[in-house]
Amino acid sequence: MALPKRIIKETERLMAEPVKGISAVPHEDNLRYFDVTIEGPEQSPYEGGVFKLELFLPDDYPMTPPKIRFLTKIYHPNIDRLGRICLDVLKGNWSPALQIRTILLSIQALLGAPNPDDPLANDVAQKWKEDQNAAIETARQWTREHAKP
Amino acid sequence: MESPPFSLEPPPLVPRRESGAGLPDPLSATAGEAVLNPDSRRNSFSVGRPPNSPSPLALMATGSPPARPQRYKVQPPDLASLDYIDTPAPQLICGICQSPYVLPVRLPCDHYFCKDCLSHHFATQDAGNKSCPMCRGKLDINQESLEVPKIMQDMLDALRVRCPNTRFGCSWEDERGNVRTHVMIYCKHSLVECPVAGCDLYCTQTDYGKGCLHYTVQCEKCQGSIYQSDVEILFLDMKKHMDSDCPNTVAACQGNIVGCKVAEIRKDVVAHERTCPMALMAPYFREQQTRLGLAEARIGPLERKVGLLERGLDSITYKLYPAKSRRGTLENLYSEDTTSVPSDSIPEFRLPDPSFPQWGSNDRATAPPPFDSQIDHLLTLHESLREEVSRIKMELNESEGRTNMLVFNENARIRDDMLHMSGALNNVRAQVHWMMSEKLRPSASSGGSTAAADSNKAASSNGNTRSGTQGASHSMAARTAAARLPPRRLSDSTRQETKL
Repeated sequence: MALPKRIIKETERLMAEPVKGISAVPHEDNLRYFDVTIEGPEQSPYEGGVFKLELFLPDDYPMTPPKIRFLTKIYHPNIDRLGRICLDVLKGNWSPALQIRTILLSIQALLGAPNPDDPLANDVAQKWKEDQNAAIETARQWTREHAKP
Repeated sequence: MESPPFSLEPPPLVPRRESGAGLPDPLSATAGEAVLNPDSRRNSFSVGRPPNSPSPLALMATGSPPARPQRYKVQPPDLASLDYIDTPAPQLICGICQSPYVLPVRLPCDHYFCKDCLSHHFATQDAGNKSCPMCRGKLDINQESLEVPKIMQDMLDALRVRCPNTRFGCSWEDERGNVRTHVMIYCKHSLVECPVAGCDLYCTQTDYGKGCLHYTVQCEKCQGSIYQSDVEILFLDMKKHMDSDCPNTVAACQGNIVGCKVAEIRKDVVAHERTCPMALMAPYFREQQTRLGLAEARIGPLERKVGLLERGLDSITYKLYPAKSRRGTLENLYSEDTTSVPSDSIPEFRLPDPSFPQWGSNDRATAPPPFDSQIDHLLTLHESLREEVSRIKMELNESEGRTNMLVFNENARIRDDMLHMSGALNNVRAQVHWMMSEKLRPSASSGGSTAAADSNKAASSNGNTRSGTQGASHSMAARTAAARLPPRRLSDSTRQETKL
């Protein structure tokens, strides 16, 4: 099936005007599949880390949200150990007016503002609630170990 | 099918499809559904020519649709997939499809979307839970859609687009508002239903008379099938395949414009081009060639200009020096035949400067000086020559006059001398005559004594050759003769005087 014009336009724009700290490169053999890297936001436990993600645009994109998953191990209450992300705009709050770049920015913001009240990784959320400083230190350590640039 | 304007129905061999069966309404066509869906097309492809396909000749002979262009149905253009020439203003871009609005719809929250985009969005939402994609505001699906401002529609229609059939060879470009008219009526590359029964596919109007082209073809060289799901014109594709893709077609090395002779099948050529220095330089040489072509194209007008200037120079030279006009032209200046030049000129230029032929041959062999100075040089040469010649002529005249005067003077002197001499002679004669008449007068009175004296004088004047005896006898005879003819002696004596 031919690639919709919107996907082509979005890809071109991502290449022409990249967002700072975010890159998304489509696979040559499948233009719906993107390799994404997101830099950890400043003044967060993930600062200095570079996180790899995979992004896939389903056939009925943009009517359905893109499928995104962390490939790099990350200690975050809203990201489980399989890398799945708990983010409202990736589920029920998706709107076809959103784009790849806005979604990636939302994920970057999620790294800077973890939300343990709506957890996906329950054990992480639990620790985050009990001892936030220890959890943040663990997150730093994981970032140093797994998210090397 | 529209109401048939002609009674002649298409031949049974080529029955047209029932109207509406294969033709979706414009809206569903723009949504990319139904017949134009490439996946459904692919399944219906058969290898080789369909058995019931008539030849193009048969189609034409039976007066089938190509003779009546109005009979076939053109697919309406899909406005959502148009190619825009300029980047449209972001205010005209639909938030869902990221393209300029097609049939925009205005929501109560004042957000706009394409009609199709919005209906697709609503289809994914629950019935009582519709929301605006932009602001997520709740929407009542039963509410009347609001009126879209006319200015927005006008701005959308004014966007410049390319013909959707550009890939089939159409080069039309105009405002979006005209694209439907162009595609439906004027564009020769629009897709129409395949004329052959049983074929659900579409071909371009230009290929309509060629029968069914919807079968896969295999490349003879590489055995690869060149069928592509979204391309209808297979023949055109085949040519493109042979020209640029097929690895087994014979192709020439890129460097052939600078003399690389390699021409093998493409995959070998590609390997060769990596090492061929000429192929590496080929882009540079191609650029040079185009520049050379441009330069050559510019030489033509310049040559004409030079010709005009030459003629102008010619006429100017002719006006200045009518006699030298032939020498003034550049051709004559540069011609090797320098000897013919003086012969053409008037006689006063007959004397060539000794250095001139040498200058002509030597300077031409090396580098000729700028022609301005050459002409100047020649002209001054001529001037000096002309002065020289006229000076010589004057000197000649002068010397001629001088010699004439000399001769005349000499002649006059000699004539004077001769006059003087003849005067002296006359004087002498007059004296002699007087003396003779003095002598004759006494002899006339005395008789023979004067005659004897006269005869004596005559004898002495005759030259003393005679002997004394002879003279004695003669004097006797002369004395008698003188006595007889006395007047005659006068004339004789004058004659004797002139003899002296």
